[in-house]
Amino acid sequence: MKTAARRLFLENLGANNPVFAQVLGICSTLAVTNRVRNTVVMSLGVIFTLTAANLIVSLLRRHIPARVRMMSEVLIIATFVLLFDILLRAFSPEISRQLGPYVGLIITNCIIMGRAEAFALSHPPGLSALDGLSSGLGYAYVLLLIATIREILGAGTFLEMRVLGEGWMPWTLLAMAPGAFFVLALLVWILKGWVLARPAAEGSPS
Amino acid sequence: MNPFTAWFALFFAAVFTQNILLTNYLGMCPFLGASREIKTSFGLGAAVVFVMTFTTPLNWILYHRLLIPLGLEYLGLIVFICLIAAFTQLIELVIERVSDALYASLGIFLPLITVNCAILGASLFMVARSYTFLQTTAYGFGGGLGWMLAILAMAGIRQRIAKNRLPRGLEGAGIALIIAGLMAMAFTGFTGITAPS
Amino acid sequence: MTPLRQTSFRNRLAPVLFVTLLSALLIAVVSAAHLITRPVVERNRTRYLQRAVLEAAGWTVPASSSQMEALFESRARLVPEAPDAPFAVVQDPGGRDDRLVFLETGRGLWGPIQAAVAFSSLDGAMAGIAFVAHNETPGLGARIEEPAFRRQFIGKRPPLALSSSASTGSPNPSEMDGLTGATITSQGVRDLINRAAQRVRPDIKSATPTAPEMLLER
Repeated sequence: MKTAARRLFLENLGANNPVFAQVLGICSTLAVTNRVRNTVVMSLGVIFTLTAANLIVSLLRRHIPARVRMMSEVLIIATFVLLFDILLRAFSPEISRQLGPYVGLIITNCIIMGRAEAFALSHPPGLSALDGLSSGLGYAYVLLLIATIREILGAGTFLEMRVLGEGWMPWTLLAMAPGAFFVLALLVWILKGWVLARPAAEGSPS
Repeated sequence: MNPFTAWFALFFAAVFTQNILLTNYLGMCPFLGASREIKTSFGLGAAVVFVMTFTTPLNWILYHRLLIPLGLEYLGLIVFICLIAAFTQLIELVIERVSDALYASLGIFLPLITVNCAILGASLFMVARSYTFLQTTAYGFGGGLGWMLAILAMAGIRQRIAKNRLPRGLEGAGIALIIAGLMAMAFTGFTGITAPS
Repeated sequence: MTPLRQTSFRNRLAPVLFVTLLSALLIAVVSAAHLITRPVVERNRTRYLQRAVLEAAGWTVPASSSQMEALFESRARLVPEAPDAPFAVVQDPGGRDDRLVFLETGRGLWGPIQAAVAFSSLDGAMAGIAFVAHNETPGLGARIEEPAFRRQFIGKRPPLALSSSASTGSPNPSEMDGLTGATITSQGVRDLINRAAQRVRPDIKSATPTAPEMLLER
């Protein structure tokens, strides 16, 4: 059991990484990757929702009627996203303001739904929670990589602190939408092509 | 500026300059995963247009005429997603009964639409930007159309390069993202055209 | 083999019941969280507004909320709501000028921009501006919050027009510098300042263009 857990954990960070192996769930967070701080908060939201939703879905897996399976999953996920949004608005209003509607969009993050369907419905709660946690972490580090590149080169700061001199002309393209796509493409290319060390199956979720 | 121009300006912005996919990054999963063929992309795009055009104004009504008077705005998220799910289910049932052809080309995509971030995103942005009902109709329709435009363009390009050899690791999502980036850059060119505030 | 009636129940009613119960439970949880945090959210909102009002009036606001609230108590006075009335009157740090602070909203790229705009009651010039709410892109339009951008407005006399020269820091009191790459945001700020100025002296005509025009992104 322990080795299975460890293997699952590592897989979700690497070979089965939701972002570059399965290319899931980038919508909601890509928009905030122009600032590392916002990405950290969004990733925490995704990790929290993934872990909690996986746990609850797994606990209820024998009781959910087949017909309303997706609806129930959506409701459970929505609850945790809302909880995160409410807590954020109360205790970190500045960041909540900056993230705006993107926190709510965590609901539609395909990873969360995907893991609930693919894993939590057929595995015990402990393992499901671990799966949620590790998928979330796998997701988070890729996005943090993107955000680091985008913030440092696109604004000259990291975590709001200036790291490149005042004379640095920011690469504004990185602060805009095309920049996010290119950086992600680059990362997917590097990670997929080299880390996985074999021609990756085209866009198919494992 | 007369109301018609204002409506059209917002519609134009929703399709081009503030394209919900290329500027707001919404609706990416099917965009990257299911955009290989023009035919499927068309079906998917049409489904998105249909659902977004109707659910966004419907959500406006729910939000402004039900949730706000009751002081329940914080439940907006759950209400929106429930409406979208219910609407999609209903339409799927109707299409299934009414026309096999329509079902085959559009209906099968409907279950995917529920979790398409673009649909929910449109409603959430509608709230965040405090749009009026009229503005919401322009935004919902334009947003859906813009999404369909993006996915059709993506499919067209991918069909063209389907036979080409790509560097290892870049097949699939990688090249799709680069195409998306280039398209986003191209669409940025539209922002030079604005209507007066 | 379950009898037909039981299967029918299980197939039709049970799922609906399940979803209803689940929804009720989840909505209860969310509502509880909302109610518990509501006072905190309200307090945050008020503090944010107070901070913006003080900043617009020229104060360097202390980071601590309690100190900020004490400052607001001693130097600011809320004005009863009336058309064209300011939101608050704030004594300036020098103690000689009562600054009129208006809350005004303009249209940014991504939604409304709300700002506190302060005018000196001695000479009617702008005393400062601070942003309360906006949806603009971090790194682009959101840079209106930066002190470097806001500082330029001290002493300006609306109605303002966007400066067309490439250099920053125009000494012309009727011109303001926009933000590179954030034209619409800059226009929104210009328009809300001009509207606020109209409330100070109604005879100032708004500078907002009324004819459609093609504008080039800088």
